[in-house]
Amino acid sequence: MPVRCRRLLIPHLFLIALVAAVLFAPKGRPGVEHWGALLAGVVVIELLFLTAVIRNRRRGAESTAPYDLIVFVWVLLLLWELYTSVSNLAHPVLVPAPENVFATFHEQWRTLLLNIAYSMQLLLVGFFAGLILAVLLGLYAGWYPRLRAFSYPIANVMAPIPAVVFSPYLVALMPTFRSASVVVILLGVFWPTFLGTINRVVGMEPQILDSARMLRPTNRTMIWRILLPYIIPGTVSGLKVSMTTSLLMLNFAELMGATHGMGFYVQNSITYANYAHAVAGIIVIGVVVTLLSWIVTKVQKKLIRWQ
Amino acid sequence: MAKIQLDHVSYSYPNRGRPAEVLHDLNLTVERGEFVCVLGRSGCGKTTLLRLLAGLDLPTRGAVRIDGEAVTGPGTDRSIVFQSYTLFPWMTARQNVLFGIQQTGKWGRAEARRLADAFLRKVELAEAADKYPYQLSGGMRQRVAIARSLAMDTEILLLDEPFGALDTRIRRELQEFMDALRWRDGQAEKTVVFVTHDIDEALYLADRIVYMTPGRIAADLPVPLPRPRKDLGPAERAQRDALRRTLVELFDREEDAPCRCAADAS
Repeated sequence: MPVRCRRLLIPHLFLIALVAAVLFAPKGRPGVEHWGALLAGVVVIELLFLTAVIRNRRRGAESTAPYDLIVFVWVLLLLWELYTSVSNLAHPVLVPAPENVFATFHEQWRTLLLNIAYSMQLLLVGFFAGLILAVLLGLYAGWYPRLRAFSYPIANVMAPIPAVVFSPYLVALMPTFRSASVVVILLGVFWPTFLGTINRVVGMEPQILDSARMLRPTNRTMIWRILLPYIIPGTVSGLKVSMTTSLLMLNFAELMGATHGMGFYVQNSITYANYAHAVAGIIVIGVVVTLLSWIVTKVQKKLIRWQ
Repeated sequence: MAKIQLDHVSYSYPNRGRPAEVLHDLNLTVERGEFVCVLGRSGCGKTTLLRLLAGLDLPTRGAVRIDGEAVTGPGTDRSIVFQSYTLFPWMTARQNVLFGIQQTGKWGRAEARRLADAFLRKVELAEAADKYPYQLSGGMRQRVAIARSLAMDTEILLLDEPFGALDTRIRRELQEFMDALRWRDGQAEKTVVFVTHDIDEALYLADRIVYMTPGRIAADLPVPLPRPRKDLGPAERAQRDALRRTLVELFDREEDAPCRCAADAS
């Protein structure tokens, strides 16, 4: 048997074991939901895996990662299934059955989507406001020595303070929870980006700076046509981290006093001891983070095509 | 009036509180249309000299004069080509040339575009117009940089070891190129100051070679050879070889002398 097929065999043996456990194993736990949603989820995961395998082969790169990852996922689901639905060894309330978690996706998808949309709105507004403001002010502060001399020490003090630290205070201070969340994210993105932008402008390749000076640009030309494109790759490469930390800060802020949003959904489910919903919410947050960083990677490739 | 005049120029930079002198009481005159090579070991201050001409640095004492007027900073009458990074990596070849032209403010948008393409053709890179510098070889990048300099139509061209990072064959090609490009109707259009540590490069290109030892000008030798210098007759070759021997001797003499100046940007 060729290596390629053998590689596909092991994951599918685990898949069969999982499906068998879900469909045929005697259930030892009461209150387990119908398996339909779980199997639908398994099909989605399997399809994602097969797409990854096909894309891998098209590129000619034979990475073992998808195979290992899928085995990991199947084993995890299998153990989860055995530990809960089949044997009922786990705590019946604290550890929900996979059937129940996946049923949540099916029953609550509208609520989940609504909460995602709500969180994304705050995230994107805060993130882009912080990013644009930081790059803009950072460019000017980097270029004008007087501005830099006074703002650099301030940024150095502010940047290392995690925005989550003052988020409870901001939630109390701001008129609405929404505005508080936006400000938390904005501040969390602003200071590090502002500081990074100044550093990038100051640390500009001396020969590029000299070349630019020889062309006698006005300050405006210098900032918009030389400095801005120069700092973009560095700024963009930090985007993924700042995007993820923004989401983190938002979810954290949502744990206190929010009425919508992903963080609120998880917090609220835990309050009502609905752990199936809580786990489902956590999984959704993971999926959203993954999607976001995938988008950021695509944007990066577009923006720095000259490198 | 001389095109470029250095009048008792000294340059030093602060070095742990104690100023380090890179150039000491330099006097130099370059005539309009002259091609001067500044030759010397690394650390002799030749790059600093070029930076003063460019206006990127200002002399500590004395004055650099262009057309009789003291230089106070970079000007649109001068353009420069460095060994690397003269081009902006985020602009394509055409955008780089175009940006240089637009900065001079002499031409309208359409005319600037036409000129940019014309100069890229001149350096035989028309097909690379839409490529980014990272997609070009080192030699092609320097050609684009030269195209930008020429397209800016500056009277003075400053070059800081522009071919230093290239291999011998490409370097010779670009030297021929450089020699050919600055002529129009048998008349040298541009005044060129070319910094190098390559004796043969200087002998190939220069009307005059200025040899620098740390901080000062040690020799100022005219190169009265006909152009182009690719195929010289026997008598001229002998003359060139004599000049080369003189220069090699100058280099060798320095071998034993301790270096007086701390550092040089190059």
